[in-house]
Amino acid sequence: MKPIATDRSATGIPTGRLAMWMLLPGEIVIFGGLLACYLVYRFHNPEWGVESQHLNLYAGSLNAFILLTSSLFILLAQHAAEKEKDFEAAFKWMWATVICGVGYISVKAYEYTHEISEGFTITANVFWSFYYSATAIHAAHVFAGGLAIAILSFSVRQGKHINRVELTGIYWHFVDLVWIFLFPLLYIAG
Amino acid sequence: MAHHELTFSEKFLFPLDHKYVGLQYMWTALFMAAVGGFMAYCFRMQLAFPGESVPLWGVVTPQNYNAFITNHGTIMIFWVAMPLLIATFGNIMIPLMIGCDDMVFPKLNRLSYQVFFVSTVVLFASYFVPGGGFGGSWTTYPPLSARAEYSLTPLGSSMWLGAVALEIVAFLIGGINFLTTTMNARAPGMKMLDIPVAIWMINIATVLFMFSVGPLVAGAIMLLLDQQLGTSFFVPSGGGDPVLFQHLFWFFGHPEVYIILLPTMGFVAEIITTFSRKKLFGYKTIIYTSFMVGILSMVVWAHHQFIAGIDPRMANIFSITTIIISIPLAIMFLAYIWTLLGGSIKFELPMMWAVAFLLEFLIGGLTGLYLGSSAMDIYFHDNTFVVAHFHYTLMPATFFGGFAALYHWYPKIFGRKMLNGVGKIHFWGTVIPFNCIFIPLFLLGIAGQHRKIYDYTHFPDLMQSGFQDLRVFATSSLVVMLCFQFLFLFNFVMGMRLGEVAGNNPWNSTTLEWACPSPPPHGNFGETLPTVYRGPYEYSVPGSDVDFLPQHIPAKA
Amino acid sequence: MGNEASNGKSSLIKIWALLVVMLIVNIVVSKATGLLVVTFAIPTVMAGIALAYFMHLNVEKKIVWGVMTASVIAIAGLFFGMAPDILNNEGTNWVKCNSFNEKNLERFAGHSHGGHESPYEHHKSALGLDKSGAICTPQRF
Repeated sequence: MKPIATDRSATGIPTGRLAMWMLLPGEIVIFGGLLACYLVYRFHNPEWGVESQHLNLYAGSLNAFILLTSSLFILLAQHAAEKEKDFEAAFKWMWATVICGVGYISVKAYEYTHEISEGFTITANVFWSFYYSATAIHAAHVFAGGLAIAILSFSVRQGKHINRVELTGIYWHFVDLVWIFLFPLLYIAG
Repeated sequence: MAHHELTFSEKFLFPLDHKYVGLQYMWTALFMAAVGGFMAYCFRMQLAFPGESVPLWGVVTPQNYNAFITNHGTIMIFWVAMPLLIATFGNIMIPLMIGCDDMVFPKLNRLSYQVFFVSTVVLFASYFVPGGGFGGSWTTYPPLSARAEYSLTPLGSSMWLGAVALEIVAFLIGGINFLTTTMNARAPGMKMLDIPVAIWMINIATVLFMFSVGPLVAGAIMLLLDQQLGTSFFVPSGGGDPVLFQHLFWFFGHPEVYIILLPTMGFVAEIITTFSRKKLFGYKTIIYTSFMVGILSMVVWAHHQFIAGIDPRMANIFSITTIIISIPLAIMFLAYIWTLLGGSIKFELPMMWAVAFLLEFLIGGLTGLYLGSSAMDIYFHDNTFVVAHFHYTLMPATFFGGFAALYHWYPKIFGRKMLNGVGKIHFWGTVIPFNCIFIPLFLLGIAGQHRKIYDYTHFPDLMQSGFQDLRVFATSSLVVMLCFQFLFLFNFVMGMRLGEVAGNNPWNSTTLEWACPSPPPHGNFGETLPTVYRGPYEYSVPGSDVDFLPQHIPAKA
Repeated sequence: MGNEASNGKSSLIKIWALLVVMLIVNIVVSKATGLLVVTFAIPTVMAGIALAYFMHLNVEKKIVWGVMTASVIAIAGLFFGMAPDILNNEGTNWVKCNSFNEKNLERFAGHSHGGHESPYEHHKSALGLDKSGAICTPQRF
């Protein structure tokens, strides 16, 4: 029961993709707002450099690699679905992406556990407050994106809603991009 | 694609049809307006008759007072102005005015109202939890709002914050729908510069919202963590900075008032063209100056913080940008006046409200110039002069503009016009008392009256002769104004049965929404959606035998 | 068509590989030199590549780049609007503390991790805490 409106495209961009290009700037200003606050505090508190050394650089790097690879997987899924019309392969690549997401969250959970047990809780210091809130919000977006891809995969396997693979892909790449900035900000420049 | 007759559930409970989603927003907004108005009544009664029991409430305690002023502001902005102006008319009017059968994402639309509904429930729930409703002002500055031992509302403050956050999410979801529909689903032949100004304005407001609310969402999350987990993002004793929250809040808070203003400017454009039978003067100028207003509104925010301890050099910069933003607004205003000049004006109710908006908003805007100067603000900050200024801007934008739009499009939505005589009494019974409420507040503000004070009898300087009389006068005028709103309610409900039956186009207007039946069926235009052949304001075109050329009628060969 | 498809896939894999290499280079070079401009320039370029090739902005209408850039500019505006106030302590009427929560400080006072001193011992002077472990000290003015 799709309205006729949904298939119109006066701009030339399909409706779904246009909507994604509106969602992303909204998300950029949310994360950007949080990070602008972090930056402004960070310049004012140079001693936070000491705090960030307690972050696990290897875990952060591994997570960056996992997300980059998962971005590749969702693109391969899009390629399989749109160009090759191989819906089984698309399904598998989508699940590869989801598993990477699960991996990301597992690594983060490991990091959190370790850090909290050492006493670096969210209230220890404003640096840690930012670290936990920024990475947790990011992880929530990873979770939401992964969930969306997982649910979509079943339709895609049957050849339906193929255009949505690209849309979830765009969202997923965005989530990846946030980590590409968040990781150096907290773990390296920290 | 079959357009079946909608069931009760599909109309009123879980609608996918944009008109019914819009109506859900409208009824909620009108209900919340009553709640917000009641709160204003209670706190003003306390100010006029301190310590006395207020009819329909009882004694207003200091904690009640704080909760009332906080929630009055919060409700009026987030639960009345935005839902009424943007969500109601955006939802109902966008598909109709651009000539398509629904929004592009009906399910997302339904979801946005559902989130909004939950936000309303959470807000009400916050009043009934132990500790009561949040009383830290709609601006919720920390550290007062960040620690329960200061705010005294451990649960209420977080629930209030959660309600506002949910409302923001609802509007982000809805906003994506408005923008995508306007950009993509336009009727064939409707180029960007054929889009009616009302639709332009709703979309510009939506873009402004989506760009500016992000940092506040981040700030709200940080504030929530401060409240519930004891982090110190904004609490100095833990290393935080309260002024940071103020920046995050006002970075959104200032564009927010233009988000409320712009849709009303759009509705007024539709109304003044229809009721002066004249083309809009400077359509492109109006659009471009609205872009300018939108962009400039993002660099004026710290004028709300002149006295908060910000860097005085920044205060200079923000003073300058604040004064500059009056220029595009003045241009838009003049373009509207020029539209009216020489027109053949019909003072139907929508036109009366539109003109009232223009005149009252002018006063509000001019007083804003005084407040934009950081030096004057040393005297005026936290003063009822500020209160009168923003009520002279926000109330015309929300209520006069809202009434204008409701009277104008009521025939389209419900198939009948509202009752004229009752409407005229409601009009004068609102406009005159409105001025009687707020002019005293300007005068008291100049005399030095602070705002957010529970009981002025504690301040000898503010109990000089005549001052309390002004307060009583303002409060009495408020009571009168609120009583007249019952007439509006009567008119709104009874108009559906007793009003003059409206055909498709009772006002002889040119835009596409008048091309479908009143009320529009599911799918709006039937089997064939309209095609557009000209701009939206072709009134009194020389050489034409009728004084208006609707957008969808092909040009005669 | 087979060729075009595999070209599509192989170029995706090449771009992925490039991004991974840039990630590793960023980590190694930043840790070695500590140059902030490197730490952020490389991710910015990575973002540009991801936006162009992964999110297909290279073939999308140009206005989308404009919208993305506009949101970043808005945040930059926020940052520069806030910075003079937050980065400056002159005129604040409060004393900003070094934000050690009392519970945690007790937890670490004299706590050893199997023979190593508490991680905060050598931080204390860097963090401005005086010998008594007082939580709040006046900030730089």
